[in-house]
Amino acid sequence: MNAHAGKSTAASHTIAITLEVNGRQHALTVEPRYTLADVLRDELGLTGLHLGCEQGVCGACTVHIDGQAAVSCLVLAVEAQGADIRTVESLAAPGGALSPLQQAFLDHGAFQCGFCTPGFLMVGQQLIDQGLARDRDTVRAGLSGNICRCTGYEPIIDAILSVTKMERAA
Amino acid sequence: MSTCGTGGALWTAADAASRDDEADLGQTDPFVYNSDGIALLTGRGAYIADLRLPGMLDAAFSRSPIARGRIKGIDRSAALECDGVQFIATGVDIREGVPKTLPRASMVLHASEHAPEQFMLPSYHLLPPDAVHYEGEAVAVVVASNRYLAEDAMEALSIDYEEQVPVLDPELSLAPGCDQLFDDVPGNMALEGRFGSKEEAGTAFSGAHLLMERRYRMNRSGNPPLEALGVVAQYENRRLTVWSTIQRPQILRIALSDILDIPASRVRVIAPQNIGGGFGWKSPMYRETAVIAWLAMKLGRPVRWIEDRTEALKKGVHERDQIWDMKAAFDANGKLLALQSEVIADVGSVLVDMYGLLPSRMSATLPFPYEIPWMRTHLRCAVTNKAPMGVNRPAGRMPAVWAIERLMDDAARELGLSPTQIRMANFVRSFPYTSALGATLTDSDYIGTTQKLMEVFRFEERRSQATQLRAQGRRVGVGMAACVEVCRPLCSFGGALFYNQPQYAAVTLRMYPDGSVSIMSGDAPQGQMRHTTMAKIVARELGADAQAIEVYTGDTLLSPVTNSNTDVTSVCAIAARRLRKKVIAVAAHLLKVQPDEGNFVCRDALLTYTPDGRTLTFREIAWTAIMRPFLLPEGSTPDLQETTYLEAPYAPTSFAAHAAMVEVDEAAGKIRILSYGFVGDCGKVINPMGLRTAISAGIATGISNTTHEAYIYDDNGQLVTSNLKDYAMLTAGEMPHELIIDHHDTPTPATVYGHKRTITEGVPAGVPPAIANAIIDAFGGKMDLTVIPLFPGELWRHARQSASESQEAKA
Repeated sequence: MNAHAGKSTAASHTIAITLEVNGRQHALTVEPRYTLADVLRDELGLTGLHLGCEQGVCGACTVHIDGQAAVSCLVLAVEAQGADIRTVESLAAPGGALSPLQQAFLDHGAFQCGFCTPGFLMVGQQLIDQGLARDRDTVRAGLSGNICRCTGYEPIIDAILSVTKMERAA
Repeated sequence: MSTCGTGGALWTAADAASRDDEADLGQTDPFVYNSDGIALLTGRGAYIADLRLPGMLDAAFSRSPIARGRIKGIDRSAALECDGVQFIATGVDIREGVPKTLPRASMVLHASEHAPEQFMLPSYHLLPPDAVHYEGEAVAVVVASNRYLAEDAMEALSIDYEEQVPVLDPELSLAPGCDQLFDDVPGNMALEGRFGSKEEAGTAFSGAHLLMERRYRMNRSGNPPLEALGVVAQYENRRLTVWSTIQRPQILRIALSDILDIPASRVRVIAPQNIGGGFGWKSPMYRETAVIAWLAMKLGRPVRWIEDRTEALKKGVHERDQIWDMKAAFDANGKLLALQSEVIADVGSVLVDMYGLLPSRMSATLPFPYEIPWMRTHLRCAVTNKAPMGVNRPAGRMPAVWAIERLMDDAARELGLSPTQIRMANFVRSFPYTSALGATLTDSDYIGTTQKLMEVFRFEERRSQATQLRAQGRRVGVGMAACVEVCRPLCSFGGALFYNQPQYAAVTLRMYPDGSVSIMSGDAPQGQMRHTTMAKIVARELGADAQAIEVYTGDTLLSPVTNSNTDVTSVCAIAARRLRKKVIAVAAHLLKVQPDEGNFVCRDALLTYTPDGRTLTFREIAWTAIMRPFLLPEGSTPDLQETTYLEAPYAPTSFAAHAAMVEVDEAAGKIRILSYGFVGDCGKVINPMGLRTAISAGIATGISNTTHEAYIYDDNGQLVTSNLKDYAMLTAGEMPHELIIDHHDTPTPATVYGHKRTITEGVPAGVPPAIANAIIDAFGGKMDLTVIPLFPGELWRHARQSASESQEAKA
């Protein structure tokens, strides 16, 4: 949504906030009701996260807030002030090189339409970072908040586990 | 056999002769899994909701809170006072601007000798001026400067309804005396079709060794994609451009032109490069799409509508929802001699073009993989006050597969046969085979495919294992199912049976002066990696540099008229071979040799004249042809472009065999799928990893539709499962603990590489009966299961009943 369009009335009064996203500070003026997802997509142009349900169920809008995966459709932008927010756009290296997990998704055929993929990448990365991607069962449990209709999950699980295996080997 | 008439035969004998028999296609030369992948993995996909246009407004629809009633009045005064509101339109307003009703002739079934059955589609306006027919039906539209404000104003609309008692049961809907829901649908019957054997059954039933009369039911479910609908429309200089999450952009252009009464030449439909899944659900022209286009024309500003999930679930289209009453005659060996099916399909209310009837039509005429000497199916489609029916993967045939595959197991049990024995006794063995219902089965090996499944799944060993585990008190069972996969009809005659639309594939290839190539396909991929497929095939057949090929899809202005989800592989191969000839002709002139194709090798944008080893780059050739045409012989045109149309000689069919080993958790009423086996026949495999991923997804949808994913209406016609928590799609933890996927391929001569189209589309159909048959086996055959989805509560009741019966038996 174009969040600037609202007139300043009781229904749409605005608040100045600062968001730290992918290591950069952004000064924004938002309505208190704007979700973090809408602000990231519409104000900052970070359209990598997708809105599959806006009900906190599908996980396609997952971002990291202070290192924790969170569905950005259920977080208000004003709540996210002062937090370190990371989106899918932050995973690849600045030069464009894919992260190990992104590469593993490509190598394992872990996506088709790509709509849910940013959410799975953000959750998968957290599972890896926190040592929770130990085996198929822990990965399955960790992915239970994300829905995919194109892969049947198996290739996604394979991709995540392959990164754990690679890190153990290293 | 349903072959294409010669008039439509765009596939030539020469093309068939150059059919590619290389064994290594896609194996030793593996596909880059997905050339679009980098964008999708790094958050740079281009989906409809990512599109921004200057001055764009957002629309929100007000939807009916009741299942059936009259609209008495709409008071928009408070809504018009809301912040940012630009415009509000009701059904009455829009009717003034757009008097035509839906569905348009351009979007309905061919009323022709090919579709002999009677059908009556309810006609309706873009928005209803006077009556609502299901909960969630769009009633009014608000346009505001952003979506938050549009939704605020929508809530300020005051709509007065006079509620009527909804008709929700399809059998009651068709019964005499029921209220007629639409003036133009007498008896609430949208379609009645009789298919099958012309002669009478004779003594087939009366003399049968075993006569089975069973009712199998598959309730309302579907396969909605994760991305809901989206539309952005712009009207500039009398040209209408509509970006839409549409699977069939070419058909949408025709329909919009028709309903809005502007020439098709001024309508451009663009399906975005990335669509977040389709599964048939994005095929129809939903009325909202036309409303948004009309608003853009009316307001002179771009208008956008991004559907939310509750709208997507309430609006439809839904699927499955059929009742199959089967009467079947078997002989002592398990041979099915005669099968009479009475089918009632609940098609909901305001049907979205011909897609409303297509699932039932497909299901009722699905050829089973069995040779059934006498077969008749009587289909009746009932309108009810529910969301409209429409195609959802696997496009209609799921209830039919559910019924026949449950019937086979039920009969086997009666006759003391194993699930495999009864199927082997009935499988079609020689091809082509024309089913009594009309469709022709081709290029398959049902016995071989099933035997392969038996091997890789170790079916009999698992059956014994399950018996032993049951003796130890565990509820473990093993079941199977088999199903034909009717590929997308690749020729228009076959398509005319169900579709209003052509089935040929078409593509334009254009080489630029630098030797790079754009592929312009009318297809609108929704995640099938067709961009990758097309680029790969063209690079291979033309000898172009894969890195310099760009694939454009879904834009009606760029591509030739075609359908979508067609055989893009074959059409790209043929177009590339034809363009290669043109490249060679120019090169031959430059090299002053004869254009004998056998003397040229093209690879990575470099042409080699093999007799003397001289080379020319594609850039040198294309630059001459396009920029310096005066160097070419008199009469040459600077033409390094090729548009190819492709009609296959017939529609090949696929087949798959499924097996499941499940354990029932009686206390929770849940199942754990210990192992799932799938062996499919998809002709030659082109992209092995992509195929595996798509099959695994099909199995997931099948499980989801079996265990909990469902549209459930309450007694007032309110959709209970109207968010993704309640409309529960399968998550990772519910996938089988083990997945065994294999192939037994029978290549078809109907396509360039021997591949069959869309085997994976049909995968979900085989899953529910395989799982249900396994659950029944887990109870040692001492339970009946005829209705799915099977919710935990229902399975828990089955388990309780079974436990009390076995207690009684002991007592």
